[in-house]
Amino acid sequence: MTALLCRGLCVHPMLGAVDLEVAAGECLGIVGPNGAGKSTLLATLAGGIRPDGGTLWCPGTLAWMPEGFRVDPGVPGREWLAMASALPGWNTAFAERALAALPVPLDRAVGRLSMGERTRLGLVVTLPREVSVLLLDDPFLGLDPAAQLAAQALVSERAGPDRAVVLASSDVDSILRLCTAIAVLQGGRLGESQPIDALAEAAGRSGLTPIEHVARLTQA
Amino acid sequence: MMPRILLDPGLPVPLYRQVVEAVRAGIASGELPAGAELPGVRELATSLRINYHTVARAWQELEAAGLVERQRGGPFRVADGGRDDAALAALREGLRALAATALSHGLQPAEMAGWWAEALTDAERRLTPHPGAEE
Repeated sequence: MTALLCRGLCVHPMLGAVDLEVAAGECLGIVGPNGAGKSTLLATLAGGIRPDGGTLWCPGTLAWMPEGFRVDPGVPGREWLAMASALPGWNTAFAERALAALPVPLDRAVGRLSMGERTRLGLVVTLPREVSVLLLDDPFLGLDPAAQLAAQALVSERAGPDRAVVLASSDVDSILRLCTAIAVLQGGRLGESQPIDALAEAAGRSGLTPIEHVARLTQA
Repeated sequence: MMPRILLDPGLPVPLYRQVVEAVRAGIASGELPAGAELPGVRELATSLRINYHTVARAWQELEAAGLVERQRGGPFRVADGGRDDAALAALREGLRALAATALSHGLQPAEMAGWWAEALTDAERRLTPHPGAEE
């Protein structure tokens, strides 16, 4: 069942029209060179940026974690958590586990958190929402090794059969682990998505590791 | 008890295939005896930090190969007495290569046979749950 569909979506003057379809149970990884427009694309899918044209269809609910959780820097994490937990579909039990796995200094203003701490806060306020589409913009940015493993496990748990996930990341290892398909955003164009297993096989046929293969695909 | 599965997304081998090979190896080594219960798809996916489709596909492949089976609605279990023909053929090939290497190192066939007998005794001892006890 399609959870998110766009046809001819005009995200940005520098980007071509975007066609994309993600079904419940799928996790689409978006990779691309720095500055390719991954964050702009996700912000548009989330409704944070108004597109210049095209169709965006999302019949269910949606949650978006912006890259580095760039939000009002003066507000402490505890207030973000309180706001998120007041939204419909908040899973309290999962939220408690997420916060235990990814501790955040909640009394500190977001602007005074490190990059890794902001990512933790973003995950802790986004993942517990029982939505049909989850948009995660670099959910591993700045995380220490233990937090990275914890975050991968939490994302894996939330990428269940009832939810569509779009995961933009520069961490290819996480994309290969967590996604069912991958699409390359490069040169102003979102390429067709291909199954993640096919990617590993294609890499093997070219005598490359999957990470080398993705690096080659995203070369400007 | 499920043996530890080590996955490497950096290898040019799809992750579902890496899971399949790990379970095959567990069955071949006796770590996963007939009847052993495999973990649920979602549970294993989270503990391995991979997508649940990857585990589901691995279980499907193992079921198609006759290595695991399940009753309606129950968990997957290691199938009874199933011989993994593909794994056995690979093992035989491996033994051939090993024999050639041993000869190239100047090992005598009688010595080699001694090593083989010793390895078998060791392996049998490790696989018997209660040493010395008759079933």
